[in-house]
Order: sequence, then C-alpha cells, then structure tokens
Amino acid sequence: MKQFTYTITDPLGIHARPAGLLAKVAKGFGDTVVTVTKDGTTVKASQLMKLMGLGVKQGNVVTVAAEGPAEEEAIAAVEEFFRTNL
Amino acid sequence: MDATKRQRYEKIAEEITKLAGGKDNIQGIAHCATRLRIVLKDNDLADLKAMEDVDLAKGVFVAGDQVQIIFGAGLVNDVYEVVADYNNMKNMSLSDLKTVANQKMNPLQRIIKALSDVFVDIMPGILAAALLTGLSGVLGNIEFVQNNATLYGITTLVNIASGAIFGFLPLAVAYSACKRFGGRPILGIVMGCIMLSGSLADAYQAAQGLVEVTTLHIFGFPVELVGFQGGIIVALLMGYVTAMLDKFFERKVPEVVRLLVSPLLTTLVGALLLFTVIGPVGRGLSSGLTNVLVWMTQNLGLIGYAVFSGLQQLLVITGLHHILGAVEAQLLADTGRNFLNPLMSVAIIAQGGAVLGYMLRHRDNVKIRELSIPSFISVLFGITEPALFGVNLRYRYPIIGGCIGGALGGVVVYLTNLAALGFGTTVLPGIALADPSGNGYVNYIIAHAVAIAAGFIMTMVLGGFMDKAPEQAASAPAKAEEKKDDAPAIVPAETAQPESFYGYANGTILPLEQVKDETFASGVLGDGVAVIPSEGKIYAPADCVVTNVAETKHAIGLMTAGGNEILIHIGVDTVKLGGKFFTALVKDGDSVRKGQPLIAFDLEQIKKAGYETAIPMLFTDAPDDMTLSKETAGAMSTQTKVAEMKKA
Repeated sequence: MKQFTYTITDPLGIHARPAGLLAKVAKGFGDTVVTVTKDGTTVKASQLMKLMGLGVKQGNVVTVAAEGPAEEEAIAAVEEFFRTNL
Repeated sequence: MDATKRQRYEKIAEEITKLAGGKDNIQGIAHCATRLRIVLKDNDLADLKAMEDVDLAKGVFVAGDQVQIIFGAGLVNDVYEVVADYNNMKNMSLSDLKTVANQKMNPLQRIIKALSDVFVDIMPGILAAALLTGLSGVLGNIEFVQNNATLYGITTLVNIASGAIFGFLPLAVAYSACKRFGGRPILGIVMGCIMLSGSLADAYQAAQGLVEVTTLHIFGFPVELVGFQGGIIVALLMGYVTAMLDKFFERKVPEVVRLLVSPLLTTLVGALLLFTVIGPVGRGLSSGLTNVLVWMTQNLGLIGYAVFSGLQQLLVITGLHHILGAVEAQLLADTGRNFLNPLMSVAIIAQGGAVLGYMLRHRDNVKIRELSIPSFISVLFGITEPALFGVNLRYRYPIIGGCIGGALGGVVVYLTNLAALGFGTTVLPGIALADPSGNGYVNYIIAHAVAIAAGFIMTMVLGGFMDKAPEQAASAPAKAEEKKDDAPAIVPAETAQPESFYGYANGTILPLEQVKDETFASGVLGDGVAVIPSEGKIYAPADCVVTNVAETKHAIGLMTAGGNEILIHIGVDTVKLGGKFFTALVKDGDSVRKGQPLIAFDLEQIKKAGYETAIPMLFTDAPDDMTLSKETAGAMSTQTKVAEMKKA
C-alpha cells in the first residue's frame, strides 16, 4: 500500500467538481483501490457521492492511500491531482 | 465571512434548529448586540441544555417567549445571518420578533403566561420555603420539641430558613419579572432591595399600627415611607417597569457613558415611580380588594362566605393575603372567634384537590407528576404558591376548579359555624386551632373533605372541556409517524437499470456541451443534460434516495431507484456562495418521489451576484454497457421526460 497525507489549500475544499474529477482520476487504475480518509472516515475516491459526503474543507488533513497492482502509478497520479487542484 | 467560517456557522445553524425543535417550531429569529433570539411555538420542545454545548455558544436562557443564545458581539451577526438563511427567516427586527411572539396569545393569556413564567423561575425557592414552613408549623405545635433545647434550636432555624423567602418574595419577584421582560436581572434585584429597604417601615407592622410611618412631601404629594413586604403586585409592576427602563436607557444613552449612566437612570426613575405612583396604586388595590372580601363575610352571610373562600386564593396570587393576618388578629381581639381561618383553609385545600385532578388527567406526564406531588404536599401545610403558580394558574382551568371547590367548602364552614381560636396555620396543622365547640374538629374535617373533593371533581370535569389542546398535540406526532409508514423507503437497485428521468427544473433545456464550465461541458464527470431555470427550485428526476446534499447546498447527489447515480449542480462556480441563497428541502438519506422539490434557491440573487445559473444533471457513474438518450432542446417541466438510460 502506498499513501500520503495532504493539507487542503483550496478555499472551497473538495466540493462537487473537484470530487468528480478526483473520482475520474481514481477510477483509471483498474483493480487498484484509491481511498481518502478524513477524521477516521475512509471512502473510495472513485465514489463521487461518498467523496462529497466527506465534506473536506480548506485546512483539513486527509490521508490518501492506494492499494493494488498499480498502486505506484495510482498514488503518483492522485498526488499530482491533489497538488494541482486542491 | 469566508467559506470555512460559513461552514462552521452552518453546522451551528443546523444544530440550533434541531435543538430548537426543528424548523416547524421556529416562528422567528432576530439578534441583538450579543444574542441570537429565537421565538418558538413551544419552548418545551427545545433542548436548552444541549444548546449550551453548541459550537461557539456562550450561554442559553429563556426570556419571555424567546430563547436567547449568547454568541458575543460581532460573531452573533454572522451566526444570525446563517441561521436565518437556514430557516428562511431573514430581515426580522427585534420588534417583528416580539410581534410574532405576541401573536401567539390573546392579552389575558399573555398576562397569565407572563405571571406564570415569572413564578416558575423562582419556584424552587418558594417550594423549599413552603415545605419548610409546613415542617416548622408542625414542629412548633409539639410541646416536647418546644421543651428540648436542641430540638427547639433546630425548629427555630427551620423557621428562619422557611420564612426568609416569603419575607423577601417581592425581591425575588422583581428580579424574575425584570428578567422575564428583557431587563437585566440585577436591576430587578436592586428594585426589590429598594422595596424592602431597612430604611422603610415594615409593611405588616405598619398595617397593625405597631410602627410610626414617616411621610415625605414631594411637590406637595405625600409619600409614605413604608416597605412593600408582601407586595407581589407592586413587585411585578416594578419588575416590568425596570425592564422597560433598562431597555430604554440602554438604547438612548451614548455608549461612552452607558455603563455609568444607564443603570443609574433606571434605578433612579424606577425608585421615584415606585414611591409616587406604582406603590400607592398597588397598595390601594390590595387594601380595597381585601376590605371588600372581609366586608362580604360580615354582611352577606352564606354568599359572603362562599365568595370569600372562592376568591381568597386569587389574593394569594397577588400576594395580598398577607394582609389578612392583621384582620384575623383583629377578629380574635374583638370576638375571640376567627372564622376567616377555616375559610382560607378550605380555599387552600380545594386548590390541592385541583392539583390532584389535573395530575390524574395527565398521569402519564412525568413532568406534571414531579410538579404536582410536592405542590400538593405543601398545600397540606397551608402553602399554595407552588400549586397555584406551578400547576393551577399555569394550566388555567384547575384554578377555576379550585376556586369552585373553595366556595363549596366555604358554604360548609358557614353551615357548621366553624371558627378558629388562633391564626397563622391552616389545613393539617390548622386543625389544632379549630374551635372544638359544636363538633368543631369533625366539621373542620368535613369542610375540608368537601372542598378537596369539589376542587378535584370540578377540575376533572372542566378538564374534559378545556383540555383538548394537549391531547391534540399528543396525537400529532403519532400521525406524522403513520405518514412515514405509508411511504416506504426507496431501495435503489444494486446495479444500474434502464430508467427514465423527468424534468428536474422548470426552464429551457440546454445541451450539456453549452454549459459555461469546462468540467461539466466536457462530460468528464459523466454524460447528462442541462437546463436554464426559470424558477428557483429543483425537483427529483425519478424516485430516489438523497445520497449527499453539498454543505453549500448548491449541489445534490442522488441514487435513483434504478441504481443510477446522479449529480445535480445548480449554477456554475456557485460553491463560492457558501450556501447563501440556497435552501435544502431534503437531507442525506431521505427517500424522495419523482417531482418532489429538493433544493430551493434565489434565482434572481444568484444572477445578480454574477453567476451562471445553468443546472447540469450528470450521470456520474454510468456503466459502460449503458447509454443515455437525452433531450437537447425545448422546455423542461417536471412532466417532461428529459433523459433515458438504456442498455447499449
């Protein structure tokens, strides 16, 4: 399993649009599962509604993890997404 | 207010609304310099204790019909804005709020409610004193206790402890009334202290002519320096006046000197009014009422007795009954027989009967039982304040039942020629005072039995006519539950099924590609349709479960009965509004039917704020083996089919 923690800097947090984009990114690695954890709640990054439901805001610290055959690529892509968009 | 703060406040708004008994229970919202003020339909539905734990709240209390939550200067303005938005109640002024509060009741109800609120607040003190008074009354009559130094000492201390609050009742009432009417409590206390100041002659002693009363002359008007012991009416009026003065001066005095000048003016003007107008008027009322009642017993025979014992407890409400002690002393001195004592005693026990009647009607209500039992016990020792203010007056009809019971008891007193040989105690301990001649003890018991039974029965009977409201209230939640039952929860299919979707807004259909937002237009979030809305509301496009209402309420996630995941996003970039102009009509987990409103929003304001109002509806998790056929032009309403998910 690969993981990183990230502090959200986007003033609007993970709202509908970035959540949708993140879900798209996270879906792109077949059997590799990407998860986002905030305050002990973990959701699959591929599930848009769950992701929105986390209510991640600016200043929140989230832990992002990837597990599966393509976890290296997945974690790199997702980390890139966070740094660029969130 | 930035988005982070806004979200924090929204959470506060949500919690406060829930703890206030829900949106339906909130009638109005306003704020003053530091407090958020909410008018509730029913204060009992609010959980004030839990409200104190709400984020940022510094305290919670009830003043009048308003629940007031202290947030502090500045902060309260922001919190208010969010809470008011959340409940769709913006732009209410404090006076609007009062109007809302007052509309709930007619003037008489308002007065009784205010009176009851004032006394409920100080009830623990009165109740303690009442029971202690009963105890000291019993102990004082036991010879053994009187002869034992230790027991005598304890009795004396109990006596002091019990008598104190009654001696200072006007102070407690002035405090509570001032608070009730929105003034600062300490100013009510100050006014109470003035009323009972040691520099004034004691009212009871003055009434019996035991002390010299100094009279001042102000502009030629005589002002008697007599205290207001037992002056409950005066204390109530003063509490009200003090509150009004306090609010007036707090508004008018410039801020620089406010702390120095405003309480000073309130106290000064209040004290002048007390001695020149309110005091004399209140005292006039007292002696007038009392004299009329006493005159009736002496001149109208049976009717006079019945009226006296029927209305005597109303004197207690006003605090005027203390004056009767002087009359009793006079009667004893003149005739040796005190017939007022048994009359008062039956009036008292009848109120106890009314309490029992009310309790029996509401035997399932724990709160009422808790209040009724100690109230009844204190009645047995001759103290009716808890019963009157805690139960009978508060629920209105028991006081009527009690008064009728008292009147019937008075008839028995007249017929059996009952009298007492002393004064000061009534009901249980009072039997010791009864004149034994002509079967006095037996008649005493019969008169009380008649009074308590009549009070009890009349309350039960009256309750049958007048007690409808609480029963209705009790059946209402049951109905609500039934409703839930015949709308079974929607269980979405495990995998996406072919399904039709109907208009989710009224307006004009727009191809998704033309939405002025790259993310939506490109279809990267999923295929879908869009609409330019003509009104500020979105509806469920199919039977579905709400999976997620965005905290900013500009977007909503749905899982349809057919297992399709849908995102409806109102406007472009509207997340930046932080929830402003949006109202969620459903919450996460709700089952909703096709066409049911989901979110309301202020279309004009959003346009004015410079946002695109196009509303895309996206199928964010469509499986590869399904395709979406969709309308790309024309009008949209909740009756038009706008999209269909089909097997590829």
